[in-house]
Amino acid sequence: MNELDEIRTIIEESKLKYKNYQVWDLASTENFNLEQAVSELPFNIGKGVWKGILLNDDVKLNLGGKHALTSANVLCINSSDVIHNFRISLIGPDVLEISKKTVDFAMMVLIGGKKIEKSVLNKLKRTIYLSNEIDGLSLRSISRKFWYQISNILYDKQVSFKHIGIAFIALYLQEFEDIIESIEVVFIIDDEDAILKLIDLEPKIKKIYSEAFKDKIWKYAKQRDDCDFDWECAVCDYQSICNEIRNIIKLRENKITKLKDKNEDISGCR
Amino acid sequence: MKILAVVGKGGVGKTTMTYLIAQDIINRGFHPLLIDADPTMSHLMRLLGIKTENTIENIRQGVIRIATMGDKSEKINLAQNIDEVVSDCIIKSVDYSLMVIGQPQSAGCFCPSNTLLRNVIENISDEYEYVIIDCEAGMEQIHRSVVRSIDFLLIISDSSLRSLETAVKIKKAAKKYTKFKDYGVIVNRLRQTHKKAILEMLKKKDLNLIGTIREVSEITNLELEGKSLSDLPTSSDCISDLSQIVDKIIKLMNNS
Repeated sequence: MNELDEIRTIIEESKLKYKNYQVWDLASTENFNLEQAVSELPFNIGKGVWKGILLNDDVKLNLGGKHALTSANVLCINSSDVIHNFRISLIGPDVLEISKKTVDFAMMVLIGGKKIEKSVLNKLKRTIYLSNEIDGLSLRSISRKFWYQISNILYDKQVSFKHIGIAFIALYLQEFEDIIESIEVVFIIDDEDAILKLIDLEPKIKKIYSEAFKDKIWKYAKQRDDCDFDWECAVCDYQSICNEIRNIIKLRENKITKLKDKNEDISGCR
Repeated sequence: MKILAVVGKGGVGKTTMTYLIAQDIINRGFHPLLIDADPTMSHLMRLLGIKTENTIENIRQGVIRIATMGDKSEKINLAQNIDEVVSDCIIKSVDYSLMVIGQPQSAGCFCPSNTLLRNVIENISDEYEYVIIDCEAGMEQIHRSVVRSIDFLLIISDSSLRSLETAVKIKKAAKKYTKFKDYGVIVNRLRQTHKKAILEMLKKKDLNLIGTIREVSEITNLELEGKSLSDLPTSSDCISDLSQIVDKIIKLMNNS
Protein backbone atom coordinates (compact mmCIF):
# COMPACT_ATOMS: atom_id res chain seq x y z
CA MET A 1 0.00 0.00 0.00
CA ASN A 2 1.45 3.40 -0.89
CA GLU A 3 1.34 6.44 1.39
CA LEU A 4 -1.76 7.91 -0.25
CA ASP A 5 -3.66 4.64 0.11
CA GLU A 6 -2.64 4.43 3.75
CA ILE A 7 -3.87 7.98 4.35
CA ARG A 8 -7.16 7.29 2.57
CA THR A 9 -7.65 4.14 4.68
CA ILE A 10 -7.02 6.08 7.90
CA ILE A 11 -9.48 8.77 6.78
CA GLU A 12 -12.17 6.24 5.89
CA GLU A 13 -11.75 4.37 9.18
CA SER A 14 -11.99 7.63 11.08
CA LYS A 15 -15.10 8.65 9.14
CA LEU A 16 -16.79 5.34 9.91
CA LYS A 17 -16.00 5.66 13.57
CA TYR A 18 -16.89 9.31 13.87
CA LYS A 19 -19.83 9.69 11.53
CA ASN A 20 -19.37 13.35 12.38
CA TYR A 21 -17.68 14.47 9.19
CA GLN A 22 -18.11 17.10 6.55
CA VAL A 23 -16.81 17.30 3.01
CA TRP A 24 -16.72 20.56 1.11
CA ASP A 25 -16.22 19.91 -2.59
CA LEU A 26 -15.52 23.47 -3.61
CA ALA A 27 -14.98 22.57 -7.27
CA SER A 28 -18.49 21.21 -7.56
CA THR A 29 -19.99 24.46 -6.27
CA GLU A 30 -21.56 26.41 -9.12
CA ASN A 31 -19.31 29.21 -10.41
CA PHE A 32 -16.67 28.44 -7.81
CA ASN A 33 -13.92 30.99 -7.84
CA LEU A 34 -11.00 30.73 -5.43
CA GLU A 35 -10.27 34.45 -5.45
CA GLN A 36 -13.87 35.14 -4.50
CA ALA A 37 -13.73 32.48 -1.75
CA VAL A 38 -10.56 34.06 -0.35
CA SER A 39 -12.09 37.51 -0.36
CA GLU A 40 -15.01 36.14 1.66
CA LEU A 41 -12.78 34.63 4.33
CA PRO A 42 -13.27 36.22 7.76
CA PHE A 43 -9.51 36.84 8.02
CA ASN A 44 -6.67 38.07 5.86
CA ILE A 45 -4.07 35.83 4.30
CA GLY A 46 -0.75 36.51 2.64
CA LYS A 47 2.79 37.47 3.44
CA GLY A 48 3.19 39.69 6.47
CA VAL A 49 -0.43 39.59 7.69
CA TRP A 50 0.55 37.81 10.88
CA LYS A 51 3.60 38.12 13.13
CA GLY A 52 3.12 34.59 14.37
CA ILE A 53 3.27 35.28 18.10
CA LEU A 54 0.37 34.77 20.49
CA LEU A 55 0.43 35.19 24.24
CA ASN A 56 -1.30 32.48 26.24
CA ASP A 57 -4.27 34.69 27.13
CA ASP A 58 -4.81 35.44 23.45
CA VAL A 59 -5.19 31.78 22.54
CA LYS A 60 -8.69 30.39 22.19
CA LEU A 61 -7.88 26.95 20.85
CA ASN A 62 -4.77 24.80 20.56
CA LEU A 63 -4.85 22.43 17.60
CA GLY A 64 -2.48 19.83 19.01
CA GLY A 65 -0.15 20.80 21.82
CA LYS A 66 2.56 20.02 24.33
CA HIS A 67 0.44 17.26 25.81
CA ALA A 68 -1.76 16.58 22.78
CA LEU A 69 -1.20 14.91 19.44
CA THR A 70 -0.37 16.90 16.33
CA SER A 71 0.32 15.71 12.84
CA ALA A 72 0.68 17.90 9.76
CA ASN A 73 1.90 16.54 6.49
CA VAL A 74 2.09 17.33 2.84
CA LEU A 75 1.99 14.45 0.42
CA CYS A 76 2.90 15.15 -3.17
CA ILE A 77 1.86 12.74 -5.91
CA ASN A 78 2.99 12.93 -9.53
CA SER A 79 -0.54 12.44 -10.71
CA SER A 80 -3.48 14.79 -10.36
CA ASP A 81 -6.24 12.21 -10.87
CA VAL A 82 -5.96 10.60 -7.46
CA ILE A 83 -6.42 13.88 -5.57
CA HIS A 84 -9.90 15.39 -5.21
CA ASN A 85 -9.21 18.92 -6.36
CA PHE A 86 -10.47 21.68 -4.02
CA ARG A 87 -11.91 19.20 -1.56
CA ILE A 88 -11.74 19.99 2.16
CA SER A 89 -12.68 17.19 4.55
CA LEU A 90 -13.26 17.56 8.25
CA ILE A 91 -13.58 14.53 10.48
CA GLY A 92 -14.62 15.53 13.95
CA PRO A 93 -16.02 18.78 15.33
CA ASP A 94 -15.62 22.16 13.64
CA VAL A 95 -13.80 25.02 15.39
CA LEU A 96 -16.87 26.54 17.06
CA GLU A 97 -18.11 23.12 18.23
CA ILE A 98 -14.94 22.41 20.19
CA SER A 99 -15.39 23.15 23.87
CA LYS A 100 -11.89 22.13 24.98
CA LYS A 101 -8.91 24.51 24.94
CA THR A 102 -6.71 21.82 23.33
CA VAL A 103 -7.60 19.03 20.92
CA ASP A 104 -5.65 16.30 19.15
CA PHE A 105 -5.20 17.52 15.61
CA ALA A 106 -4.09 16.29 12.22
CA MET A 107 -3.94 18.06 8.89
CA MET A 108 -2.99 16.53 5.56
CA VAL A 109 -2.44 18.52 2.40
CA LEU A 110 -2.55 16.22 -0.61
CA ILE A 111 -1.11 17.64 -3.79
CA GLY A 112 -1.12 16.22 -7.28
CA GLY A 113 0.81 17.41 -10.29
CA LYS A 114 2.91 15.96 -13.06
CA LYS A 115 5.39 18.82 -12.90
CA ILE A 116 6.25 18.38 -9.24
CA GLU A 117 9.99 18.00 -9.10
CA LYS A 118 12.41 17.25 -6.34
CA SER A 119 13.57 20.86 -6.28
CA VAL A 120 10.20 22.16 -5.06
CA LEU A 121 9.37 19.45 -2.54
CA ASN A 122 11.21 21.34 0.18
CA LYS A 123 9.13 24.49 -0.35
CA LEU A 124 5.89 22.55 -0.64
CA LYS A 125 6.50 20.85 2.67
CA ARG A 126 7.42 24.09 4.42
CA THR A 127 4.18 25.90 3.64
CA ILE A 128 2.08 23.70 5.92
CA TYR A 129 4.20 24.56 8.98
CA LEU A 130 4.61 28.26 8.49
CA SER A 131 1.27 29.75 9.25
CA ASN A 132 2.40 33.34 9.66
CA GLU A 133 0.47 34.04 6.51
CA ILE A 134 -2.93 33.47 8.10
CA ASP A 135 -4.07 36.31 10.35
CA GLY A 136 -4.70 34.85 13.80
CA LEU A 137 -3.40 31.32 13.23
CA SER A 138 -0.10 30.76 14.96
CA LEU A 139 2.38 27.92 14.94
CA ARG A 140 4.01 27.01 18.23
CA SER A 141 6.87 24.64 18.56
CA ILE A 142 8.96 23.02 21.21
CA SER A 143 11.70 20.55 20.63
CA ARG A 144 10.32 17.78 18.43
CA LYS A 145 6.73 19.01 18.81
CA PHE A 146 4.59 21.67 17.24
CA TRP A 147 0.99 22.73 17.15
CA TYR A 148 -1.28 25.43 15.80
CA GLN A 149 -3.12 28.04 17.81
CA ILE A 150 -6.29 29.92 16.99
CA SER A 151 -6.45 33.39 18.50
CA ASN A 152 -9.48 34.72 20.36
CA ILE A 153 -9.94 37.27 17.60
CA LEU A 154 -9.93 34.65 14.86
CA TYR A 155 -12.36 32.48 16.83
CA ASP A 156 -14.71 35.42 17.32
CA LYS A 157 -14.80 35.80 13.56
CA GLN A 158 -16.68 32.45 13.46
CA VAL A 159 -13.79 30.73 11.73
CA SER A 160 -14.30 27.18 10.51
CA PHE A 161 -11.97 24.50 9.19
CA LYS A 162 -13.51 25.16 5.78
CA HIS A 163 -12.06 28.68 5.95
CA ILE A 164 -8.68 27.42 7.13
CA GLY A 165 -8.69 24.82 4.36
CA ILE A 166 -9.47 27.47 1.73
CA ALA A 167 -6.68 29.63 3.15
CA PHE A 168 -4.12 26.82 2.87
CA ILE A 169 -5.27 25.94 -0.67
CA ALA A 170 -4.99 29.59 -1.70
CA LEU A 171 -1.55 29.99 -0.10
CA TYR A 172 -0.30 26.89 -1.88
CA LEU A 173 -1.71 27.98 -5.21
CA GLN A 174 -0.36 31.52 -4.84
CA GLU A 175 3.13 30.12 -4.70
CA PHE A 176 2.91 26.93 -6.75
CA GLU A 177 0.16 27.59 -9.28
CA ASP A 178 2.31 26.32 -12.12
CA ILE A 179 2.92 22.91 -10.68
CA ILE A 180 -0.16 22.09 -8.58
CA GLU A 181 -2.86 20.47 -10.66
CA SER A 182 -5.02 19.27 -7.78
CA ILE A 183 -5.04 19.97 -4.06
CA GLU A 184 -7.03 18.55 -1.19
CA VAL A 185 -6.99 19.31 2.54
CA VAL A 186 -8.05 16.92 5.28
CA PHE A 187 -8.51 17.76 8.98
CA ILE A 188 -8.95 15.12 11.66
CA ILE A 189 -9.92 16.40 15.09
CA ASP A 190 -9.89 14.57 18.38
CA ASP A 191 -9.50 11.06 16.96
CA GLU A 192 -6.51 9.71 18.84
CA ASP A 193 -6.30 6.41 16.92
CA ALA A 194 -6.38 8.03 13.50
CA ILE A 195 -3.89 10.76 14.45
CA LEU A 196 -1.51 8.21 15.97
CA LYS A 197 -1.67 6.25 12.72
CA LEU A 198 -0.85 9.41 10.77
CA ILE A 199 2.05 10.14 13.13
CA ASP A 200 3.30 6.58 12.54
CA LEU A 201 3.15 7.26 8.82
CA GLU A 202 5.21 10.47 9.10
CA PRO A 203 8.67 8.85 8.84
CA LYS A 204 7.58 7.19 5.59
CA ILE A 205 6.38 10.52 4.18
CA LYS A 206 9.43 12.32 5.55
CA LYS A 207 11.63 9.86 3.72
CA ILE A 208 10.25 11.07 0.41
CA TYR A 209 11.53 14.57 1.23
CA SER A 210 14.75 13.56 2.90
CA GLU A 211 15.69 11.28 0.01
CA ALA A 212 15.31 14.26 -2.31
CA PHE A 213 17.36 16.52 -0.07
CA LYS A 214 19.77 14.21 1.63
CA ASP A 215 22.86 16.27 0.86
CA LYS A 216 21.29 19.63 1.56
CA ILE A 217 19.73 18.51 4.85
CA TRP A 218 23.04 17.10 5.99
CA LYS A 219 24.78 20.35 5.09
CA TYR A 220 22.24 22.44 7.00
CA ALA A 221 22.08 20.07 9.94
CA LYS A 222 25.81 20.60 10.34
CA GLN A 223 25.46 24.37 10.23
CA ARG A 224 22.54 24.74 12.58
CA ASP A 225 22.57 24.23 16.30
CA ASP A 226 18.90 23.94 16.74
CA CYS A 227 16.17 23.81 14.22
CA ASP A 228 13.23 21.48 14.13
CA PHE A 229 12.62 22.24 10.49
CA ASP A 230 14.60 20.16 8.07
CA TRP A 231 14.38 22.51 5.12
CA GLU A 232 17.06 24.93 4.17
CA CYS A 233 17.21 28.40 5.78
CA ALA A 234 17.00 29.99 2.34
CA VAL A 235 13.36 29.00 1.95
CA CYS A 236 12.36 29.62 5.57
CA ASP A 237 9.94 32.45 6.32
CA TYR A 238 11.54 32.93 9.73
CA GLN A 239 14.94 33.63 8.23
CA SER A 240 14.63 37.40 8.68
CA ILE A 241 13.96 37.00 12.43
CA CYS A 242 16.90 34.61 12.77
CA ASN A 243 19.06 37.19 10.98
CA GLU A 244 17.88 39.91 13.37
CA ILE A 245 18.90 37.75 16.33
CA ARG A 246 22.24 37.06 14.67
CA ASN A 247 22.74 40.82 14.47
CA ILE A 248 21.98 41.11 18.19
CA ILE A 249 24.59 38.39 18.84
CA LYS A 250 27.12 40.39 16.81
CA LEU A 251 26.30 43.60 18.70
CA ARG A 252 26.83 41.80 22.01
CA GLU A 253 30.11 40.27 20.82
CA ASN A 254 31.32 43.70 19.68
CA LYS A 255 30.56 45.07 23.12
CA ILE A 256 32.53 42.27 24.81
CA THR A 257 35.46 42.78 22.42
CA LYS A 258 35.48 46.51 23.16
CA LEU A 259 35.47 45.84 26.91
CA LYS A 260 38.31 43.36 26.48
CA ASP A 261 40.27 45.87 24.41
CA LYS A 262 39.88 48.39 27.18
CA ASN A 263 41.11 45.71 29.56
CA GLU A 264 37.90 45.98 31.51
CA ASP A 265 36.47 43.03 33.33
CA ILE A 266 33.84 41.54 31.03
CA SER A 267 31.75 40.69 34.04
CA GLY A 268 30.71 44.32 33.52
CA CYS A 269 28.43 43.04 30.83
CA ARG A 270 26.79 40.61 33.18
CA MET B 1 34.62 26.83 36.28
CA LYS B 2 33.65 23.17 36.12
CA ILE B 3 30.37 22.00 34.66
CA LEU B 4 28.67 18.82 35.79
CA ALA B 5 25.56 17.63 33.94
CA VAL B 6 23.27 15.09 35.59
CA VAL B 7 21.29 12.92 33.18
CA GLY B 8 19.39 9.63 33.25
CA LYS B 9 16.11 7.91 32.54
CA GLY B 10 13.04 9.48 34.14
CA GLY B 11 12.41 8.38 37.71
CA VAL B 12 15.92 7.17 38.55
CA GLY B 13 16.55 10.03 40.97
CA LYS B 14 18.38 12.60 38.82
CA THR B 15 17.03 15.60 40.64
CA THR B 16 17.53 14.06 44.07
CA MET B 17 21.15 13.31 43.12
CA THR B 18 21.61 16.84 41.75
CA TYR B 19 20.28 18.26 45.00
CA LEU B 20 22.47 16.04 47.19
CA ILE B 21 25.60 16.66 45.09
CA ALA B 22 24.92 20.40 45.29
CA GLN B 23 24.54 20.11 49.05
CA ASP B 24 27.85 18.25 49.27
CA ILE B 25 29.62 20.89 47.17
CA ILE B 26 28.11 23.65 49.35
CA ASN B 27 29.39 21.80 52.43
CA ARG B 28 32.86 21.95 50.88
CA GLY B 29 32.61 25.73 50.97
CA PHE B 30 31.64 26.47 47.39
CA HIS B 31 28.71 28.44 46.02
CA PRO B 32 27.51 26.46 42.97
CA LEU B 33 25.27 27.61 40.16
CA LEU B 34 22.44 25.11 39.80
CA ILE B 35 20.66 24.99 36.48
CA ASP B 36 17.23 23.42 36.40
CA ALA B 37 17.17 22.37 32.77
CA ASP B 38 14.42 19.79 32.82
CA PRO B 39 11.89 21.62 30.64
CA THR B 40 8.87 19.57 31.59
CA MET B 41 9.22 18.92 35.29
CA SER B 42 11.40 21.54 37.02
CA HIS B 43 11.69 19.19 40.02
CA LEU B 44 14.86 20.84 41.24
CA MET B 45 13.06 24.13 41.70
CA ARG B 46 10.42 22.28 43.71
CA LEU B 47 12.98 20.37 45.79
CA LEU B 48 14.61 23.66 46.69
CA GLY B 49 11.21 25.03 47.64
CA ILE B 50 11.47 27.82 45.08
CA LYS B 51 8.78 29.11 42.77
CA THR B 52 9.73 31.41 39.96
CA GLU B 53 8.30 32.64 36.71
CA ASN B 54 11.66 34.09 35.75
CA THR B 55 12.90 31.50 33.34
CA ILE B 56 15.41 31.65 30.51
CA GLU B 57 12.56 30.67 28.23
CA ASN B 58 10.70 33.88 29.10
CA ILE B 59 13.81 35.84 28.16
CA ARG B 60 14.04 33.89 24.93
CA GLN B 61 10.46 34.84 24.12
CA GLY B 62 11.41 38.46 24.78
CA VAL B 63 14.42 38.18 22.47
CA ILE B 64 12.24 36.77 19.71
CA ARG B 65 9.62 39.47 20.25
CA ILE B 66 12.21 42.26 20.04
CA ALA B 67 13.83 40.67 16.99
CA THR B 68 10.40 40.40 15.37
CA MET B 69 8.82 43.69 16.31
CA GLY B 70 11.39 45.88 18.05
CA ASP B 71 13.01 48.94 16.55
CA LYS B 72 16.77 49.46 16.15
CA SER B 73 17.27 51.09 19.55
CA GLU B 74 15.47 48.23 21.32
CA LYS B 75 17.74 45.72 19.59
CA ILE B 76 20.88 47.65 20.58
CA ASN B 77 19.54 47.93 24.10
CA LEU B 78 18.92 44.18 24.21
CA ALA B 79 22.46 43.40 23.00
CA GLN B 80 23.91 45.76 25.62
CA ASN B 81 21.88 44.37 28.50
CA ILE B 82 21.09 40.73 27.78
CA ASP B 83 23.79 39.47 30.18
CA GLU B 84 22.34 41.58 32.95
CA VAL B 85 18.79 40.45 32.17
CA VAL B 86 19.82 36.78 32.37
CA SER B 87 21.83 37.43 35.51
CA ASP B 88 18.79 39.04 37.12
CA CYS B 89 16.77 35.93 36.35
CA ILE B 90 19.08 33.88 38.58
CA ILE B 91 17.80 33.30 42.10
CA LYS B 92 20.67 33.91 44.48
CA SER B 93 20.67 32.46 47.98
CA VAL B 94 23.50 32.41 50.50
CA ASP B 95 24.50 28.88 49.56
CA TYR B 96 23.74 28.59 45.87
CA SER B 97 22.38 30.32 42.79
CA LEU B 98 19.59 28.83 40.70
CA MET B 99 18.78 29.33 37.04
CA VAL B 100 15.57 27.82 35.65
CA ILE B 101 15.50 27.16 31.91
CA GLY B 102 11.74 26.56 31.58
CA GLN B 103 9.70 24.91 28.90
CA PRO B 104 10.97 25.99 25.49
CA GLN B 105 8.22 27.34 23.30
CA SER B 106 8.27 29.47 20.26
CA ALA B 107 6.45 30.39 17.17
CA GLY B 108 8.64 29.02 14.47
CA CYS B 109 12.13 27.88 15.16
CA PHE B 110 14.85 30.37 15.92
CA CYS B 111 18.18 28.70 16.48
CA PRO B 112 20.12 31.96 16.97
CA SER B 113 18.05 32.80 20.05
CA ASN B 114 19.44 29.69 21.70
CA THR B 115 22.93 30.55 20.56
CA LEU B 116 22.59 34.02 22.10
CA LEU B 117 21.35 32.70 25.43
CA ARG B 118 23.89 29.90 25.50
CA ASN B 119 26.69 32.46 25.00
CA VAL B 120 25.30 34.51 27.87
CA ILE B 121 24.87 31.47 30.16
CA GLU B 122 28.43 30.34 29.43
CA ASN B 123 29.65 33.84 30.23
CA ILE B 124 27.73 33.99 33.51
CA SER B 125 28.78 30.44 34.47
CA ASP B 126 32.39 31.62 34.43
CA GLU B 127 31.73 33.39 37.72
CA TYR B 128 31.17 30.08 39.52
CA GLU B 129 33.59 27.36 40.52
CA TYR B 130 30.96 24.68 39.96
CA VAL B 131 27.91 24.57 37.73
CA ILE B 132 25.53 21.65 38.19
CA ILE B 133 22.89 21.05 35.54
CA ASP B 134 19.83 18.94 36.22
CA CYS B 135 18.93 17.81 32.72
CA GLU B 136 16.04 16.05 31.05
CA ALA B 137 16.82 12.45 30.07
CA GLY B 138 19.43 13.25 27.42
CA MET B 139 21.82 16.00 26.47
CA GLU B 140 20.27 17.28 23.22
CA GLN B 141 18.33 20.12 24.75
CA ILE B 142 21.24 21.14 26.99
CA HIS B 143 23.52 21.46 24.02
CA ARG B 144 20.91 23.48 22.19
CA SER B 145 20.13 26.02 24.80
CA VAL B 146 22.33 25.81 27.88
CA VAL B 147 25.99 25.03 27.34
CA ARG B 148 28.03 23.64 24.49
CA SER B 149 30.54 21.63 26.47
CA ILE B 150 30.63 20.10 29.92
CA ASP B 151 33.37 18.74 32.14
CA PHE B 152 31.61 15.74 33.58
CA LEU B 153 28.58 13.84 32.37
CA LEU B 154 27.00 12.04 35.29
CA ILE B 155 24.52 9.38 34.23
CA ILE B 156 22.16 8.21 36.94
CA SER B 157 20.70 4.75 36.65
CA ASP B 158 18.83 2.39 38.92
CA SER B 159 19.27 -1.37 38.96
CA SER B 160 16.83 -2.04 36.14
CA LEU B 161 17.96 -3.29 32.76
CA ARG B 162 15.92 -0.60 31.00
CA SER B 163 17.59 2.12 32.97
CA LEU B 164 21.05 0.77 32.16
CA GLU B 165 20.11 0.48 28.51
CA THR B 166 18.99 4.11 28.63
CA ALA B 167 22.36 4.99 30.15
CA VAL B 168 24.07 3.44 27.11
CA LYS B 169 21.82 5.42 24.78
CA ILE B 170 22.43 8.66 26.70
CA LYS B 171 26.19 8.19 26.51
CA LYS B 172 25.94 7.55 22.78
CA ALA B 173 23.66 10.57 22.19
CA ALA B 174 25.82 12.80 24.40
CA LYS B 175 28.86 11.92 22.28
CA LYS B 176 26.91 12.97 19.23
CA TYR B 177 25.37 16.15 20.58
CA THR B 178 27.82 17.65 23.02
CA LYS B 179 31.40 17.78 24.20
CA PHE B 180 32.17 16.17 27.52
CA LYS B 181 35.57 15.51 28.97
CA ASP B 182 34.67 12.61 31.22
CA TYR B 183 31.67 10.64 32.32
CA GLY B 184 30.55 8.16 34.95
CA VAL B 185 27.49 6.20 35.98
CA ILE B 186 25.94 6.19 39.45
CA VAL B 187 23.72 3.23 40.17
CA ASN B 188 21.12 4.57 42.54
CA ARG B 189 19.01 2.58 45.02
CA LEU B 190 21.29 -0.43 44.74
CA ARG B 191 20.44 -3.48 46.78
CA GLN B 192 23.55 -5.32 47.92
CA THR B 193 22.11 -8.59 46.64
CA HIS B 194 22.07 -7.17 43.12
CA LYS B 195 25.49 -5.56 43.24
CA LYS B 196 27.47 -8.33 41.53
CA ALA B 197 25.01 -8.71 38.68
CA ILE B 198 24.82 -4.96 38.11
CA LEU B 199 28.59 -4.57 38.04
CA GLU B 200 28.82 -7.34 35.45
CA MET B 201 26.12 -5.72 33.39
CA LEU B 202 27.89 -2.34 33.47
CA LYS B 203 31.10 -3.98 32.33
CA LYS B 204 29.27 -5.75 29.55
CA LYS B 205 27.71 -2.48 28.42
CA ASP B 206 31.04 -0.67 28.61
CA LEU B 207 29.82 1.90 31.14
CA ASN B 208 32.18 3.53 33.65
CA LEU B 209 30.86 3.07 37.14
CA ILE B 210 31.71 5.99 39.39
CA GLY B 211 29.81 4.79 42.40
CA THR B 212 26.71 3.22 43.82
CA ILE B 213 24.14 4.57 46.24
CA ARG B 214 22.53 2.16 48.63
CA GLU B 215 18.77 1.95 48.78
CA VAL B 216 17.74 3.95 51.82
CA SER B 217 14.30 4.37 53.25
CA GLU B 218 14.95 7.87 54.62
CA ILE B 219 14.54 9.56 51.22
CA THR B 220 11.32 7.70 50.42
CA ASN B 221 9.98 8.57 53.86
CA LEU B 222 10.81 12.26 53.43
CA GLU B 223 9.18 12.29 50.01
CA LEU B 224 6.09 10.54 51.38
CA GLU B 225 5.82 13.07 54.20
CA GLY B 226 6.34 15.92 51.74
CA LYS B 227 9.42 17.06 53.64
CA SER B 228 12.51 18.66 52.18
CA LEU B 229 15.62 16.62 51.44
CA SER B 230 17.50 19.05 53.66
CA ASP B 231 15.93 17.06 56.53
CA LEU B 232 17.93 14.01 55.46
CA PRO B 233 20.19 13.09 58.39
CA THR B 234 23.89 13.63 57.62
CA SER B 235 24.52 10.16 58.98
CA SER B 236 22.47 8.63 56.15
CA ASP B 237 24.26 5.92 54.13
CA CYS B 238 23.14 7.69 51.02
CA ILE B 239 25.00 10.88 51.96
CA SER B 240 28.22 9.08 52.81
CA ASP B 241 28.04 7.08 49.54
CA LEU B 242 27.49 10.25 47.60
CA SER B 243 30.23 12.22 49.31
CA GLN B 244 32.79 9.65 48.18
CA ILE B 245 31.45 9.90 44.64
CA VAL B 246 31.64 13.71 44.69
CA ASP B 247 35.28 13.39 45.79
CA LYS B 248 35.99 11.30 42.71
CA ILE B 249 34.07 13.60 40.37
CA ILE B 250 35.84 16.71 41.64
CA LYS B 251 39.22 15.01 41.21
CA LEU B 252 38.35 13.88 37.69
CA MET B 253 37.04 17.32 36.75
CA ASN B 254 40.10 19.07 38.08
CA ASN B 255 42.44 16.64 36.32
CA SER B 256 40.68 16.92 32.99
